[in-house]
Amino acid sequence: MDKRQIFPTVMFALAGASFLFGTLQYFQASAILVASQKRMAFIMTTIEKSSVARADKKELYANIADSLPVSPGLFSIDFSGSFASPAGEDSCRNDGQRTICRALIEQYSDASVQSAVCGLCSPR
Amino acid sequence: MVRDFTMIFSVMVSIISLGFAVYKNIEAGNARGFAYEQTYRLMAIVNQSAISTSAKNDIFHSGFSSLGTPEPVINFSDSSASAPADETCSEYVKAQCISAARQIADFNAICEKGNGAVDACAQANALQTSSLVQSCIPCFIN
Repeated sequence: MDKRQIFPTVMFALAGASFLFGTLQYFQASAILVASQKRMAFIMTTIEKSSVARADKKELYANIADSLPVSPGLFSIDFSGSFASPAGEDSCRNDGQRTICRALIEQYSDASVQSAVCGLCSPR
Repeated sequence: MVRDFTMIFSVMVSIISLGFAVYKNIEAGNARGFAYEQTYRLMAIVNQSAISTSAKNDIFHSGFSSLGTPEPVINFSDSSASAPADETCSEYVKAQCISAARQIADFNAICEKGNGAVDACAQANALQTSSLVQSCIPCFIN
């Protein structure tokens, strides 16, 4: 092999390995977030189907929405309020409710559960 | 000329790919931290609520039994919204909580597969109701 070909070959190999690693991490992050959505939808359905009083359920949903952590963003920077934020006129209480309702919609939960938990909140 | 271009191009492609890998690694770390912190905080709110014990147990069970997917790599410190620690939630206690969550996830995975399911399901249930796991929940309240 020509000595002058060694450096570009190593660089391209490094690029290939990095790209593969990044792609793997992308799929892993996606799988984790989908699993998180499934879990939220499952828990919300359990709460809604339980025998808890309607008023207690409403209070519980509100408390849950207020306490949930903000979804991970670009390098942990909060973009809410910026032009790139998905939040618009969606009638959601806060990011917590937005996270829950997005999970319920994407996991095709019962309409009754969506209606009870989200009300008019329909995040895009 | 062509050789110079190849050198520059290979370095640029390498730097961009490395950046992509680093960013996606951080994103995956944030996703892991977010997923498990979300579950613990939700459990904490349910624990504090004024509903019956049996309803709480049902909700806890649904939360913990769905903790096994996907393969868990738990790291609360990567979360973008980590909760402040107090004296009862030292780093040692949090490490035990993480270990317990991982064990529950492993037992649930075995329980779902059906290999030695009875024993694994029983162990998962025992862990979920253990005092350690119950004491973990308040550590993740804001």
